[in-house]
Amino acid sequence: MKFEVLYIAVCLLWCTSLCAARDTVYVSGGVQHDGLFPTRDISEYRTHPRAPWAKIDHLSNNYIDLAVHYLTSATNVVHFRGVTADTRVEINQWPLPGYEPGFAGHGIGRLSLRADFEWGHISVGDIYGQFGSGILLNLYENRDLGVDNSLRGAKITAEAYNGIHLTLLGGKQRRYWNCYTDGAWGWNYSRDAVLGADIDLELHRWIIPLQQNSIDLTFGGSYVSKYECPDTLLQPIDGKLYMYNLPRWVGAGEVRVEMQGHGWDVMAEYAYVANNPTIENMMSYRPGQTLLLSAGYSRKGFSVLAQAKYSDNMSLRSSRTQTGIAGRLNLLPVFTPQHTYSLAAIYPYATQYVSGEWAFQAEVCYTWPRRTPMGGRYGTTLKLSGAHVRGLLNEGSWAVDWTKHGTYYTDLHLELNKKISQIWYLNALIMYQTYNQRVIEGEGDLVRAGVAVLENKVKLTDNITLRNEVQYLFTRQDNGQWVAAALELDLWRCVTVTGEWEYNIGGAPNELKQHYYSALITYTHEAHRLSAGYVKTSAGLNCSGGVCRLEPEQEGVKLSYNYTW
Amino acid sequence: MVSAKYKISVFSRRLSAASVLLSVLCLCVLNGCEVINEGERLIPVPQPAITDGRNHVLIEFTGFRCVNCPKASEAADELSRTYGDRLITVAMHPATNPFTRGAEQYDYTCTAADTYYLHLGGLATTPFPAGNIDLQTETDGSMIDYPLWATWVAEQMEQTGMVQLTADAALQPETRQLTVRAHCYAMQPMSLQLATWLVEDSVAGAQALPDGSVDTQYYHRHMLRGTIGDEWGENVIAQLQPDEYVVTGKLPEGCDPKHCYAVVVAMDDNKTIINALQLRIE
Repeated sequence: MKFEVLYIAVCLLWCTSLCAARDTVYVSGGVQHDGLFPTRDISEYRTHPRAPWAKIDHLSNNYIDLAVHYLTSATNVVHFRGVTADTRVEINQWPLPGYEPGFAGHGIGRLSLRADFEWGHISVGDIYGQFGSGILLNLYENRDLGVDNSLRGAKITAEAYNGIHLTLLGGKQRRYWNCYTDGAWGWNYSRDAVLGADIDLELHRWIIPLQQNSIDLTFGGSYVSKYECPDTLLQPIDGKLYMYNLPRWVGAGEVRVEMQGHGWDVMAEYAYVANNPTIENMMSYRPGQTLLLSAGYSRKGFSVLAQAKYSDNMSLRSSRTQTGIAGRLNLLPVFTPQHTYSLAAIYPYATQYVSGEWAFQAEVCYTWPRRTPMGGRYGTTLKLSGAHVRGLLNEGSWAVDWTKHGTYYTDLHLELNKKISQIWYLNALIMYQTYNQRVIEGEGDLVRAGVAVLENKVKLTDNITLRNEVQYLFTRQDNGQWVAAALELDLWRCVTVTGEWEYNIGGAPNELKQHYYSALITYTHEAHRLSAGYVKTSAGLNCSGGVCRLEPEQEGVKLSYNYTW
Repeated sequence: MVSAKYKISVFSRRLSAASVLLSVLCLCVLNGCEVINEGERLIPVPQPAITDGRNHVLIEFTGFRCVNCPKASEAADELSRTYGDRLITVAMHPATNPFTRGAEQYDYTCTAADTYYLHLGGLATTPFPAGNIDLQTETDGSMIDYPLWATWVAEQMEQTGMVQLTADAALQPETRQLTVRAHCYAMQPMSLQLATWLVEDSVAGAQALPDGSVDTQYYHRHMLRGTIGDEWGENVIAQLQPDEYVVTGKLPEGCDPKHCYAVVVAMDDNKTIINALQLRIE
């Protein structure tokens, strides 16, 4: 807490002095409130067992961001360009349903100071960033999932020479709050430190033929090491007790290459983690590996993409006893499509960090030009996309498990996008999915589902647009068939009235056959956005980038406000 | 027009900075990794001294849909072999968690399991297997992953008991009435709650396994079937010459008396178990 107070005092003094400076000073920030007044017994949604829940009628996630920017154009010896001070206050003592227990809390979630120079920048405080694709280190914030895995420490990024980019960082990782442990008004962090180094070499800056042929070629490498004091972790075997001999240092490295040019983008990335015994991988000492391969081509009206990913035992955390969403250092790309239609997103995929997987994804997108037989008067876009994820035959093996139990996820869909007339847009989707509930959710069947979606958007007048969609999901497993519909009326580009409805029409026991619906009004004025309405949503996984959070069924009045400046 | 001298100056400064950063990177590479060879990964530790003292209860939250719960059950069995009678394991199937959902014939839930699960902060979204020692809620997060059970139990075993229990249990086969008589001894008078749990071993049923199959001949161990009397027990005074605590209740239908046993637990004001005793039913 003393650190936070000192930091704020320094920033206030600095801001005051800046007012007298000749250079540019501006303030940016934002306010976000997402709230729910549940109509059910609120204790059903308690997140932390020690949070005081008496007399609470309102759940909410609240964020206040504030950043002060100072920019200078004056020349100076160290090529200083400016500095930014960032602060974020979070008040999530009674958060929305479905977050991990540690998420409940309040305090200053972010404090950082960043100095920009001509050659790079230096940051101290809570730092974010990623190395390469993030398969070794990805420090980010995602409010929907409740993820904030920043490091409190320092980061320096420099362009050491034309085309050589270096990054060094180190710190302790944030892990939610500690206000229920010792009553502090600050954030909880890992006991020990994480260090990282990254280098990118832009070879096209030095190799003339590459420049002449407009080809960008980049080689890169990263190293991440975490230091952790050995815990006393015991294991009984045949009636005798043993203690794990745990490594203090766990190191991980990666190499990558990427080539871009003439519409092509080809990338390969490999990462290796030395022995990293954790609770999550059942104290396994075997190394972890990841290989990413990606090739894509795009030009006007046509694009194609093919990707493959292998991963095994690649969960890197700052603390070996941490599980759940918090405390993860890396983020493996999910290689499955993210859907926005509700029924298409009922079965989202969650990356298997420990048991490993082979994931394949391919996509072809083609737009028939206007005034052609297939394109019609305004053009037609067709996208065929497929993703398939399978397990590994054995631990540490590169072989694919082609048995029935090795099917983790499949997504094959065809999407059509067409402008029918000046005022009418059409979008249609047909999809086939397989979803291994046992692997992804911990229990259940192999679900095979088909989804069909039809969406229309009609511009009734210059200021009124009506969008409607109907969806149907068919499956013989899990809860059976679903239907859904949505209606959205956009008025004067500032008011939106939305109504959504879902119903489980087959398979589930009668008490689960309920109507789920929402009715919302949203008002937008410049940087302000206010939304209010009534919602009743079904339980399900909320996923982003392969990281998922289970949201329970919710019902109540919803209120949201956003303002950024 | 930038002079050559300025360019060289910038280049050399940047190269110096690059050298420093690269040196640090090399240091990371050389020192930031420690590999433990295969034969050195487990270090024997002195075996725990089994003395008369406080007994502990390992509560295992489990469900027939939980594919990793058989491994947790094996871990609990290993701990029982290590600590003998000083560690009592009880498996609870709370209905509020989806891992216990299933067809009627596989319903191993009971209201007592729900009560203790909610008391420990268990949610519908809590992943299984999860465990707890002695119904403790002081630490931030009362549910413990099973690889940590051995460490937690070892820490608790170092504590001495302030309360001693003696008890016996008798069953009338015709009426299935179970009577438990207990005494609580303490050097200084202490008020505590005394509860009696009914536990059944080797319950034949179904269990989902990690390979996706369901074993329909699985034997569930130490399953909590309910409580005799109130779930939080009755108030008793532990002292040098205590009163007799007597509780009577009926065995639930479906319980096989041959596999049943009673666990008498003594709890303090925080509802933490401070001693326990496992009784064969005579």
